Amino acid sequence: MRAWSECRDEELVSALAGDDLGALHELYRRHAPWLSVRLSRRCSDRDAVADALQDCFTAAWRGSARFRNDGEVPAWLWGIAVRRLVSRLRGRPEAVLPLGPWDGASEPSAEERVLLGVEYGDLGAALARLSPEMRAVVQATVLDGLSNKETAQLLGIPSNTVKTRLHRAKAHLRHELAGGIS
Amino acid sequence: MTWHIDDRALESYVAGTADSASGSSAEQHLVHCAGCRERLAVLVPGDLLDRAWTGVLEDVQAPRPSLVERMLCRLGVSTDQALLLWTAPAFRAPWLAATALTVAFVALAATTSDTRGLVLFLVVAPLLPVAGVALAYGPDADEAYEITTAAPASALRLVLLRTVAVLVTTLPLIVVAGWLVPGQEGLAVTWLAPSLAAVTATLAASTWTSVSRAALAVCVIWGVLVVSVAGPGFASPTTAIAPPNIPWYLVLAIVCVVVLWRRGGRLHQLGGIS
Repeated sequence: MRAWSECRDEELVSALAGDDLGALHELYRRHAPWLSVRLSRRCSDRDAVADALQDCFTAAWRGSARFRNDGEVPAWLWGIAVRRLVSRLRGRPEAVLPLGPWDGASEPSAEERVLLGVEYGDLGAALARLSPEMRAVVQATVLDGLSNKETAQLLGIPSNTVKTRLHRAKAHLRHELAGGIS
Repeated sequence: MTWHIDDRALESYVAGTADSASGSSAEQHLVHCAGCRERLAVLVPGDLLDRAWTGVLEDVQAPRPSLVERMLCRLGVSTDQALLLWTAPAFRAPWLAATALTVAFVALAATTSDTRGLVLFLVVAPLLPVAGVALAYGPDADEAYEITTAAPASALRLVLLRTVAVLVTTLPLIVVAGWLVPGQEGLAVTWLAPSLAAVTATLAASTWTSVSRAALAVCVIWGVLVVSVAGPGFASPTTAIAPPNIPWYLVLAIVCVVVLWRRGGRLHQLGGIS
């Protein structure tokens, strides 16, 4: 039998169904580091991050049958991890980290101007002009792939507010990217 | 993909100092790039990862709560109470099988033969929960007895929880059986009153003596009562649960609950050597 370190992620996940701790450990070794960093960017409480990470791999172990082979393992794991973090942080809005400053956009470098400007219009600058509340909603829904309800739980705001803010943010971005900076 | 996160950006991302644009870009890239994930892994401090891994190992190696336990938790019962309930002998297959068999037998007797069968059903049906309670707790019945005696929970709470388990598993069986006995429509429900009185009397009496002795005494008293009021030749087999008598059982049950409430602290000898 090949060593676990030579197996693909998908093979490791299907080995979890056979109660193989070696496969789980290899999966953890590969994915826990980046998951922990990504979770830490959203939550200031390291205990909550550790708990969410633990919940994530425990859930992956028990629910490996729910992994569909058409998806990517990292995206699957992140989907579990961020939802576990949301439920750990329910009712604790003080532990949720706001987005960092959007430095690159406030004074974009020449490369970034080219990178962002060519393909997407000046997306970076447009995002920078969003209010922090609207950016938090954009990050949770667009970048983290959370549902409106999960975003509402994470940010501690009503679900309707998420919808309104997302709607406004999209309108704002559309307007700016169409070149209508007034 | 030819683009990769450069070392400086990776370091600032791990340190949490990356700005939102490059941080978010790094995240989207990391999902798809195993090489950058490997480079990131060496930069991440190990303490948090080790702690979470220990937790994962504990989680996956611990026995999973059974379906019933998870259902009880869903209903708002705490995890430890769910475990106490679930380890009750009343939930074990042998106990359920024995109960079902007994109920089937006496119901059959009540259906096929003369009034003696009905008397038999009346004697046995209300006492089955009593037998369940007698075996709910104690060294000879409870496989978790040693653990429960050491658990920081009051014996009264344990006994009440276990009684609930007995009632939940036993009562539906007997109600269905009583309902199947022809010509006795009220039978399915009326025996519940003496059964309630018998269970509470057993619990109350067990604050003085062992629960097995209490249950035995209650069984004898009930059997004698049913047979003696049935009249010569068991002419009127259901006198013991005739409607005018029902309130007495309820009064007795209330009195027993009060006694149990007042003397609950003495339950430590419950289930002693029987």
